[in-house]
Amino acid sequence: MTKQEQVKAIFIEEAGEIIEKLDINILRFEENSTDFDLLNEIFRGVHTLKGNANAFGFTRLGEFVHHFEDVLDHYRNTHEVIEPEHLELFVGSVDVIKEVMECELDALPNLPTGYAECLDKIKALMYSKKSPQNSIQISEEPMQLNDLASEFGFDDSSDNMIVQCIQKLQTTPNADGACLYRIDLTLDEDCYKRGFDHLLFLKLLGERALAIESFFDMQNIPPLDEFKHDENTIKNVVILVLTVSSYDDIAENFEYLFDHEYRIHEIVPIALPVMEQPIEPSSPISVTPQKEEKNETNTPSSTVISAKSTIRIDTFKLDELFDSVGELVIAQNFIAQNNKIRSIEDESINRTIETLSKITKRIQDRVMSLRMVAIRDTFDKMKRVVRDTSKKTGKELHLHVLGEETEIDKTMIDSLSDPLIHIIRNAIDHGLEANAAERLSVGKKEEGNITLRAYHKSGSIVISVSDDGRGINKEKVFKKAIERGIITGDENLTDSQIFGLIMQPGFSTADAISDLSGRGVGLDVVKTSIEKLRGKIEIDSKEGEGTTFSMVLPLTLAIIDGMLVQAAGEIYIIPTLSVVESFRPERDIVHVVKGQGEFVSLRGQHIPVIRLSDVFELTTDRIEPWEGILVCVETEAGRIAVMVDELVGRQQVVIKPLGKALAKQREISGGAILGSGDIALILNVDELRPMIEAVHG
Amino acid sequence: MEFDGDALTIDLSMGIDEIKEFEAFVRPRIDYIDRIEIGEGGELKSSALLALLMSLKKTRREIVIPFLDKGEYRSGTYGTIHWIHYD
Repeated sequence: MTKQEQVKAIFIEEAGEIIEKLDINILRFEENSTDFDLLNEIFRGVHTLKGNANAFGFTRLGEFVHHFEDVLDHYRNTHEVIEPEHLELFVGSVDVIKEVMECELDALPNLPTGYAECLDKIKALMYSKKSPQNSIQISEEPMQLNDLASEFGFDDSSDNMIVQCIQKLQTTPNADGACLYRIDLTLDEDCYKRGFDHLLFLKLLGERALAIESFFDMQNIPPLDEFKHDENTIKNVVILVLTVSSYDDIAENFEYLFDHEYRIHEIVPIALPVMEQPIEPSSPISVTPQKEEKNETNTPSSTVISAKSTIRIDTFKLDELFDSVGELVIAQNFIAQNNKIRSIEDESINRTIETLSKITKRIQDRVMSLRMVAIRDTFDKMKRVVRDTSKKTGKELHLHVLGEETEIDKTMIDSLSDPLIHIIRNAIDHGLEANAAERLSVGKKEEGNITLRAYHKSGSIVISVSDDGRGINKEKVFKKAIERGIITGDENLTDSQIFGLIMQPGFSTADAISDLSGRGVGLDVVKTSIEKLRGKIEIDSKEGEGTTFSMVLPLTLAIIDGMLVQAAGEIYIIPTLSVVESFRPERDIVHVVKGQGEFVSLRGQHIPVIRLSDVFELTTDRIEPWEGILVCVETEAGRIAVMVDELVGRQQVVIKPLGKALAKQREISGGAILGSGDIALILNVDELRPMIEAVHG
Repeated sequence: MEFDGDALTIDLSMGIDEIKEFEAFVRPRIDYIDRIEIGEGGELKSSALLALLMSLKKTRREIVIPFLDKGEYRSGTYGTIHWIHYD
């Protein structure tokens, strides 16, 4: 990758983050449109995006965000009440930004369908909000001198002073080749704290100026009671500078300011044809508005001038670090469990080993935490999904979000959005009653409730989506599953297993297909996505009361909590997430069904027994189930009882990928190195099948 | 900064920290100050001083601040600075 490509990749990543943040913030702002701090944050995001987009030649994106920025700037400066339709326009604008960004990245010639319409609306809004003070900035007509003066925002006498000053500077002798610029400096209140002062810019400009005059508007200076020495109260300073410097050179002086804090206008003609002839007040003065499109390449975002508290790290490097720590843990375990080392009766060595163990654990925890991020951002994104789905379906609802601080592996977060979006849409579209009347008729409030929740449970993370809608009709699901040939009807399924049928491919109980969900091609994809993350989905529903989809996920993809078991002298690891219980069965609950293998009866359920020694064709003395241990695990196809010789223990293991030779072995999902240095295989319980199925299926 | 009777003489080249001290000094004494003069030499260093002087003038209009009353400040570094207030 060339350096330019690297920089572009960083831009794309940053732009993606900015847009993601915009998407979240714009919704927050929609909820509270008087939060002007938030509007400022949105503005800054758009501002940075504009600079970056223009720098990389994404002009269509640049143009759109430029106009959007103007509107935001207007509202954040005026604190004007924002009308609901304009809020809607803001939300729509963020959508367009997302779409344009994709067009730019894919170098598509066509713009998104909503681009032109949305841009027109923004321009129209800005036009309607234009005050005489800033009309020059977007006017394409040549300005009259009087207009130019009036846009300074001073009173008539002051305007005259400025006009006279312009005239004076334009007739300055020996100014051939010089340009006259007008700079409006509107520094923010915190400019002194940021190290800026009006005089600093006068000094910089003065270094190469033939003449420089400035007009400080002191109108807003408060009396002493309200005065704060470190807050700028000089709202507007007009600087007129006659210089041989180019526009870019002038602009360079202001590169560390925010865009809204300065405007540079070149005033032409630079000098009158007859130098000594005074200009009539009505003489036309044209401006070059195109110059206002400053070169954004060098305009740093606010993050550049503020102290950074974070650094960006390539996730690949993070993964490498994580791998190395995994090796460290293994090595440390080896030392701690090595009999030869343990037999050394030396207190200092033992103490050192103990210290090493503690340090290793601490490093492991800290490295682990590097990958962990709060689920807040993902949940924030879902607010938008809820809002849009609510509008599209016409269902009024409240969203409740709990456990936003819950941390989850970054790698998992990236894969979690799509499943979550689908489940939420499904909950609103199908979970909630069709309309308010239906809810009222069953004694519920008109507005539905969707609850998004994240929490820790038994070493796993659970992300659940609940609705207080109709609930799932068990009988309907069961019947439909038979119709679709998913089950035969002879199965003895638990409620959870019946609900689980709705996630089978092609299953749909929706009476009408909407464009949100209900095509029967979603929930099975959701299930597959979650399983790829080594997680599972649990459904709990009560008819008339609502449904909860719970995604149970491991804390991280790189380490799993495993139950170590031994079969025929080999150690295997069963993911604890799948384990329901383990027990030594009584002889009388074990049955052999001719042609179907061994079963164990557990609380009225017949569970197939699977011998690990058979699965992996291990040579061992055959023992009876009641002489071994059965580990009952939950699989896609229902519960199975994995028969092992003994339970070794439970521990966190670092998952190592399998080599090519073992990759095709479906019953194994990975390997792990134990403290003893031995390798243990991690079982893929969904692929463990009763012998009869394995043979015939 | 010198306080002589009811006249205060200040240095024009105050930085933000000195302006802060000046503000703290003048705040409780505003009623006893009749005149603020600028000491010789030195160059304006921060626009905050200009703002503070303007604020003092707005608070107590009787204070005489000849520097402010001139309406402009000429400097080799900054060119000509005009300040506009609406009295």
